[in-house]
Amino acid sequence: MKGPYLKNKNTIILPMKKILIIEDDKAMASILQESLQEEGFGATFAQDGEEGLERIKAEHPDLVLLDVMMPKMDGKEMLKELRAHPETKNIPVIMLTNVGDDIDTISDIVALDTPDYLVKANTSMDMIVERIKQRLQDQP
Amino acid sequence: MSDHDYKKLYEDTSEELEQCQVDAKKAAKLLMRRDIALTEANNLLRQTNKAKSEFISLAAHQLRSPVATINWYISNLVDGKEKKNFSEKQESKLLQIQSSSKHMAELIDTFLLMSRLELGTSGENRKDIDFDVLLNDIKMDMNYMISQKNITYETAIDVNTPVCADRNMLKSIVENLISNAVKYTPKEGSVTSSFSVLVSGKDFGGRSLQKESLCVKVIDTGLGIPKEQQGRIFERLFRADNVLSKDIQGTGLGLYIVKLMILQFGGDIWFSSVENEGTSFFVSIPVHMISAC
Repeated sequence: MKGPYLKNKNTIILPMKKILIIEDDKAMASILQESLQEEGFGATFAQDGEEGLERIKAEHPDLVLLDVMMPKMDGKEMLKELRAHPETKNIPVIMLTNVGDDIDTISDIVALDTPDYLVKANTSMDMIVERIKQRLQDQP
Repeated sequence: MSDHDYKKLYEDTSEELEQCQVDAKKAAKLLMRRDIALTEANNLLRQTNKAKSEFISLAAHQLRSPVATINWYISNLVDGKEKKNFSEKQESKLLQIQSSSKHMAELIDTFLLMSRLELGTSGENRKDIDFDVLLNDIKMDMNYMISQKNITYETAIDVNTPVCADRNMLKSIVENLISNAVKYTPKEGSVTSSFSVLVSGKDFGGRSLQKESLCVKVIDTGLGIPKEQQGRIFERLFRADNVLSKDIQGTGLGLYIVKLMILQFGGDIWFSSVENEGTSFFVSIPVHMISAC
């Protein structure tokens, strides 16, 4: 689907935005997916950075929710990979972290791009949805 | 006394003195051994205390993730599609679980902060502080509660001097004060904060500043602190009666830790408050303690 189209005179249907959740904690990924789907997003998830990169190349998501601490390839490493390639470098990424201390490290890495992160324990689902909508709106 | 008697006295005294010297040497050795033993015991206690703080820090870190997951599941049940399937009684129980779970998350955060302070790792990450970004981060975290209570929230930043400090620690101080203000301010109230650098001798919060300082002010139109309890609000686990009676949750550790952190910065915190009208908190941190990195 490309761009908004008119369903009838008064309703504009916007294309469903695709969010890729990259999170190794299945319970967490699953509730994120369900909540985002309820909000009208197309949400899928990958369990580590390696799988995440493959899915990004295949699915071209509109936004990525990225956990920091993961097996195989962690979030910071994955973000570097993402930013290194022209076809993926502009995908908006919101980092999800557990550890407040990580913030400095994340800020260092995303300093090149728009720094954007949420600390899971301090973030409600509403806040995540709000931030996703905001980031999608900011996209050209 | 005859010569013989003097000689005898001299010999006896010399013997006693020698004995005293031997005893003194023994006592000195004993004291030295005690000193070494005490130093060793002190080191051991320090190590044990460090191990305790490290354990608390590790446990708190590990607990954050499952607690966040629980909170997300509960909020999905309470606010999501399934809400309509619950009876009033079930919904009220879910809300109680939600409130307790949020309280648990707050406690975990507090334990983390305390262990960080105890381990002395809180001052290790000094960075140049961008107050706009810092305040924006805090507002992002607070947005939900602010909009739910329709609170007027304003921030004024007038800091032209470069500030270099542990960002997490500075953020925790400001965040604690602002989140308290928002938490204890009723609907339609207001919370304002300001950040400025004032020279020594200037008046701030009813005091004359001794040194050039970073001055933080957080003013709310909230519940206020009862006059007779104002002397206790920085005590560990203390919570004022008017807050307890309104069933507003808190750990009773926030202001205690805030004060500890401010003391680490060599600063000070004080307040003025009128019950049912509001509270103003004032923080001053000497600029030389947080000058450029």
